[in-house]
Amino acid sequence: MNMVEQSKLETWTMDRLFGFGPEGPRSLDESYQEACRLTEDVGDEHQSLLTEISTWLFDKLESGPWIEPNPSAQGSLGHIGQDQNVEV
Amino acid sequence: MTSFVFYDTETTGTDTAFDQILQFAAIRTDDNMRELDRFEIRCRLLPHIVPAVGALIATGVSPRLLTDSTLPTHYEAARQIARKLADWSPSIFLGYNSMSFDEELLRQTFYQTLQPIYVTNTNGNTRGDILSLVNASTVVAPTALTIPIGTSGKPTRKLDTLAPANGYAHSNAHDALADVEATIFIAKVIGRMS
Repeated sequence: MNMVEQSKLETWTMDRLFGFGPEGPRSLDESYQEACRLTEDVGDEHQSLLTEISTWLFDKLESGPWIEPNPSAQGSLGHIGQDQNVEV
Repeated sequence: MTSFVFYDTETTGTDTAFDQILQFAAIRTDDNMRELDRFEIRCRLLPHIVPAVGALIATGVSPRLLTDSTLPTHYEAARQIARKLADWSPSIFLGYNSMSFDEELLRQTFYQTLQPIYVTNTNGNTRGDILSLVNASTVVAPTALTIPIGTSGKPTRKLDTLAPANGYAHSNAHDALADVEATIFIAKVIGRMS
């Protein structure tokens, strides 16, 4: 097995075992860029919804990390559920 | 009596590992596809999930709905879905393109929320995909279904175009419950021709 085949096998195995490839989850920036691209593509009936989504994503981007780390929740499962940033 | 459970999900995107269910709908029928029961649930966006804009546009889900505090959380919704599917067991679980997408997503959802993962194919349950039936019918019984031509000029088997082409008024495509009803309609058309 050469290096390319080895790499393909590893990617395939990761994908099958853990359900994801090398790309990982969608980022906030990526989603906002998609909204900007779609502005010219979607029909008039969807423009107001797209504007609402774009504004919401932009606000999220501007406000910094989406999930603020909460030191009180670290190291204790008892805090899960009481922490407003952890939704269960 | 054999029962079918037709189901569909609307999600934050097409990545079964990193996207989440936003709406789940299912209809349980008898073996003649007469409705016995139905179930539908929506849930809130998880705090760490970034939705795909295209998915929100297709499903008509606004940020207000994503964060609506009156909706159950993703965890609560997953628990209710698992409980309902268990109540309906044993059944044959069906969807449209469900083997490639909804089944994977459902397993991921149950895994992430500590529910039994293989609900649809254990404890007497089995599963199938109406899209596979459609594909087979185009070969075995080419006149059973009208296969519409898509914008690219090629035949398309997307539910939102296939169902209307065969006489179903699919006015609310990409709503999970409406898509379930359209899937049942297509299954009935194939069933009549078989």
